[in-house]
Amino acid sequence: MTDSARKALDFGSLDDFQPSRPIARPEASVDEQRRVVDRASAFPSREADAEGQLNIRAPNDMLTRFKAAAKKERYTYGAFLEILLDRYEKG
Amino acid sequence: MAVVTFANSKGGSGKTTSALILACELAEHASVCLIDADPRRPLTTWSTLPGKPKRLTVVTNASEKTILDEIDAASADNQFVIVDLEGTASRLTSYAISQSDLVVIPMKEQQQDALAAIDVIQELKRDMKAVRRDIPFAVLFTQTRVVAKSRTARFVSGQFKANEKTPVFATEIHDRDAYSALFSVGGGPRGLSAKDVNNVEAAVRNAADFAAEVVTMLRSHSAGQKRVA
Repeated sequence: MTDSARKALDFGSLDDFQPSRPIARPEASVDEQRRVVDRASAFPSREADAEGQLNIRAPNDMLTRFKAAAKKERYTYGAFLEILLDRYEKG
Repeated sequence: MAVVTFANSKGGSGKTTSALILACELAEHASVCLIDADPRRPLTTWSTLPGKPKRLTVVTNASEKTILDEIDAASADNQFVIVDLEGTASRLTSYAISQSDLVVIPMKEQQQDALAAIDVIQELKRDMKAVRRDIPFAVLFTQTRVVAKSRTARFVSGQFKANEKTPVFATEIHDRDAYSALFSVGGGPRGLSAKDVNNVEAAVRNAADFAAEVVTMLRSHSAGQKRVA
């Protein structure tokens, strides 16, 4: 008999394990579940921050226009830059 | 459904190998999803080789923010979900632990692995308090010598075995060529040919013993919970 033909051991039927949602706080949203762990965990996040910073050199009147337009609509500079880029890409 | 997570914050402690042999063994009897949360993606690479059991699927973790959704989705479709974590003390580890029905802490019988295993046990206890439920765990000695253990190995494993608060698997995952071969040949221990690898039968027996012990632990905890309820 080859090893690959060796019959698997019988654990008894594994029918007592059926697909289902995890038992941990099934009513909680994923964000809530993460927040609960975040409050207790001493293991830090190892993932890179999804946000960065950009230093823009441009004529002062251009910078003033950019800042004033963002402020008028209460956008952060990042959010306003995204709007401008979206418009630019749409042509 | 049962979620079994393999965690040790030290790399090279035997997480991936022991997760793979458990997954392959359980997939002989049940539907199993193996979540590869190691950034090196060793199980995702393994899954491209021939011989993957039909009832085993491999999912590649995208990020720490997605692990809970991945476990949730896998749980809805599979009898067993097995999570292989990265070898670092990371928040991803804590998120996966929080969803687990059993945490396996693999370690070589060495001081550095032991210290990392203790770190994981302490984190696990913090996570248990956070989610307000008991999460069973047990230390699994890996890459062990079948005979003539070194004095250091006996000293390190002896301390865990003597401590009632750190459950230890009776089965050890031995240092076997068959287990190394899985990552180049593909498939599980049962698919290996005795022509290519020495002592396949002992590796198959070792894998089956480990899987049987995991199932016994899951059942005993589940029975304990029902009694409490």
